[in-house]
Amino acid sequence: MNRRDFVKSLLGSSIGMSSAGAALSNMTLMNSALAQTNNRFDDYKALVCVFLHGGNDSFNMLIPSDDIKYQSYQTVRQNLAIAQSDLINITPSSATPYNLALPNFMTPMQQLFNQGNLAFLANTGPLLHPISKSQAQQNVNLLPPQLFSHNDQQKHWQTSWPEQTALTGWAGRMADLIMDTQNPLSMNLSITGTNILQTGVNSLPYSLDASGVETFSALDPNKSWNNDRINVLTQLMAAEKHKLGQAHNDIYNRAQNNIDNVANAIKSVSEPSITYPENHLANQLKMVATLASSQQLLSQPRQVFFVSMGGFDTHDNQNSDQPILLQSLSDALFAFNADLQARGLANNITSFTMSDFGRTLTSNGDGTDHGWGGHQIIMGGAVKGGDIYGTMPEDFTLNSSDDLGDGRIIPTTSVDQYAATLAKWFGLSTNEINAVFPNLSRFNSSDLGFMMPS
Amino acid sequence: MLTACGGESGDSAPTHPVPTPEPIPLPSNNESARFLNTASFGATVSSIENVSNIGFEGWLNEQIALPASSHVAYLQALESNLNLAKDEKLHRKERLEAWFTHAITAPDQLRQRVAFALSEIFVVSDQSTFGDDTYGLANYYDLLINNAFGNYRDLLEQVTLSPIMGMYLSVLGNEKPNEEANIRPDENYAREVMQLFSIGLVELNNDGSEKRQNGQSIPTYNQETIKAFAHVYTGWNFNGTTADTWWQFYRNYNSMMPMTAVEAFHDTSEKHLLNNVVIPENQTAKQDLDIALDNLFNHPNIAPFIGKQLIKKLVTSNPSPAYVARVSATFNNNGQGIRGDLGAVIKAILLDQEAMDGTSSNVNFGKVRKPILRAVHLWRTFDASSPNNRFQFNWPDYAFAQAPLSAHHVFNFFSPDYAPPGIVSDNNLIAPELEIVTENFLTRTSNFLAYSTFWGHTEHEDERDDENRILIDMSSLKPMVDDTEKLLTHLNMLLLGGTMSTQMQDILTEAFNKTSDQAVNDRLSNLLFIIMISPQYTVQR
Repeated sequence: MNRRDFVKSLLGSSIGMSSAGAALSNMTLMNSALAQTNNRFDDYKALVCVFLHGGNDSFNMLIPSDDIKYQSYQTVRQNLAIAQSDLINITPSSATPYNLALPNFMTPMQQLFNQGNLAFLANTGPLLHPISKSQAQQNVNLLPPQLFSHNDQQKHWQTSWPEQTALTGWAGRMADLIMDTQNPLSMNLSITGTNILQTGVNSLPYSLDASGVETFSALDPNKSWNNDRINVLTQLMAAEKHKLGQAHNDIYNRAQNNIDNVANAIKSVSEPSITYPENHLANQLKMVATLASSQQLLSQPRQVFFVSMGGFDTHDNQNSDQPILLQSLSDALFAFNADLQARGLANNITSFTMSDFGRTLTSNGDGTDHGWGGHQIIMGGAVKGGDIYGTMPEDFTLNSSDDLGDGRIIPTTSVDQYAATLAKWFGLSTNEINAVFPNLSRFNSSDLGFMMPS
Repeated sequence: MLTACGGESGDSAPTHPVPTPEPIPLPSNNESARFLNTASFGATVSSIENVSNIGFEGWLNEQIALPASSHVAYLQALESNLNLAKDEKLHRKERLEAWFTHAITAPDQLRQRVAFALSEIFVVSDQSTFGDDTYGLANYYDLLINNAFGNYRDLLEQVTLSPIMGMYLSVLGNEKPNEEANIRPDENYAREVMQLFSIGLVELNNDGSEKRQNGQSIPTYNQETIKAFAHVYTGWNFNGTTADTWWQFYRNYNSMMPMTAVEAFHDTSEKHLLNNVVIPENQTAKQDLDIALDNLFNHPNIAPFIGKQLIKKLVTSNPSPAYVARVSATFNNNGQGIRGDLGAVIKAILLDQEAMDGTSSNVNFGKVRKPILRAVHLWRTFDASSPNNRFQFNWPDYAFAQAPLSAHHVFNFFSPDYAPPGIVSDNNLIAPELEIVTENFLTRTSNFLAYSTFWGHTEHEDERDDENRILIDMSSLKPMVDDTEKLLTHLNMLLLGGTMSTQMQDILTEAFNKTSDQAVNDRLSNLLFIIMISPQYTVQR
């Protein structure tokens, strides 16, 4: 029995005996014992979380297209409905309850869908348990905490564990389990700043931005004339007793320990052979492709990237704003996919969207309010594309059994199931998945089937 | 106007008796500097002298009595001086210039500092459709400045009726329900004003801790409450809008005056608010609003929610429950039966024994300085000037992940409860500002401070010809250059308020003495830089 198997056997028993949280912290401890054996993975895989801040109105992204269903969509959405003449059809390989289309400003997504490189996950959202409308109306304790609040729902998406007292995200907990602790560079790389998703018990994301990594000027250790200065700062840091100051020291050390390595890795990568569109998300994804291309130099067989796009909280001017947002998203993802294909990385990297919540089917005049369930995009060569997973809402009529009120659609698939499916592809064992997603067992399936078997 | 009624309301929360203030002995220069590094944008030699002469409370009273300096007035004066061509106008960079100028030089420092804290609670942002409305945004900032020591109820009403907030969180143009078109009132402001500007998500005790029922926190409101308030906030539009012009956004556009009620678009149904308060049907938009804002204002959460946020923004990230409770008591009653007196709240926050004691009674006392305020501190304390007499710095977001009125969303630049994993969260502490101090931004801030100390001073040859450059003046330090102890004592006072440990003093003494063969300016720049990037300075304490 090798050490990894030994740990696994321990894990199996600890899951049975204690809470998932305790199991996780046990596993975290054991992981540090395993740190030296870092060759767990002999392949390369990366996950790219594209977070759509504000709550994407995805009921205007996947739209019923046959006449009868379109009519019920049009009736509820009124002046916010995408015109039927502006829809472009998609043909999922599995049967759907009605025909579906995308808005014509997302044509690149249609192309990737048809090529089998992209799938949609229908009506997914934060859930504590599978829940029916009557349960949701009768027992507030069955609802996720602070449902409809932006930051609380973002947290739920990113933690997949709203009951925890510490604030750790599921990618952070994955890193706690599988990251090579000998590598100073975190498995979690953020191109858009601090986030909960990538924060673990012991691990934090390493942050850089779309333009790359900032290098120190007066504290650059490669310039000998800075040595005295750096030495004084090092002494001051060692003398610091305040815990917030020590936390600041940790950030400084992470910066110093990684800048050269990351900057050199970025420099080593050739320019993309395709042209990215000019938008902020595209710039971030371009940096992701760069870091993915240099994963060997960075000694990272596994990477998780966090990128984001804002502006989806379309309380106002939805008809003018949302098409621009979805078009930018679609163009950026399309270019990213092309770049990864050109670099031979398309099968290694899976990109997926998350967003605070879907939005109300009803209008507030020129926009929508905070809803619950919504649809997500999954893209990559390892995705079983050209299909729609999860369950589309039966009905778009107000007060239907899917509608909690004002067209807030009750999710039929949980964040936990979505993320666990990605984690399985990423290479976590069943026990590890159960530890990272303590609420997963409440749902009937831990693998939604949208990834190819590894 | 509404304060008396608030103070006399049936407030069920226990209020603490307000202690009779004991006379405080006059502070030492170090104590004055430490106080000013919290209550202003940075201690200066003259402000230290003033506080040491008149005491903390004397200084606070003096500051509160000072007239407010207006950012709009600054921009108007600037515009007339610039003689802009007809098709030119002021932009974001001029609004930032107004902010930096006031932070560095305005006499009403306390008011400007509190307004900045308020701007991180009552968030609006230029990262939005009205981002280039320079005057509108400056006018909103002036609203915060003008109300910094006023009553919270007035502040809440003026924020609610601000057209900038109206555009940001969708009260402006919000219309009554229209069942035929499936239109119901916009819930944006209704939700965020409760979650972020007044009572928060869960019921609180006066000491800021969460109330519990069966071990669970108790939500302050639910979706039905939000719907009711959303109906309240209907019928408001740009000043001067009528029922006939309701839809003419550009014709009506006016970001300088409070919004106007247009009754034809206001919902007049009965509305069930918090704590069983009911708005009767058939009232005007303003009548509904008054009841709704009173309802929020009289909620027991408001004192600990707002009080604790202000403590965290000004003094310490991890106040004791007792500190929060004392500030809440002042919020609930300023000693004269008035609720919501922000001037009294600010005094209570800054004069509290916990703020005075610092780390001597609580080792975790203090907060991470906002990176942007480190730059302002350097400039203010070392008498910054620029060849064209303007403080122009156009890219604070790039260097500090923060610029005034420029957050990415209404949740501000960082969460008030952020706790990074590791030593902070392991000890059940929080460090909100560290949410924006990523590896990348720590590096940029460090580089900015390097640039500003090594190159950005009045005697640097390459820089003094750049008319836009903000330059510090180190000449007051030069006479001390041969007396390391005196120099460090002086810098300890200015930058650290006397909190420098002997160990730190020893490290810096040795380091400074080792540079004796270098040019004086380089030695001083290097010393300033090292102090300002040290963890001891980074955490205000």
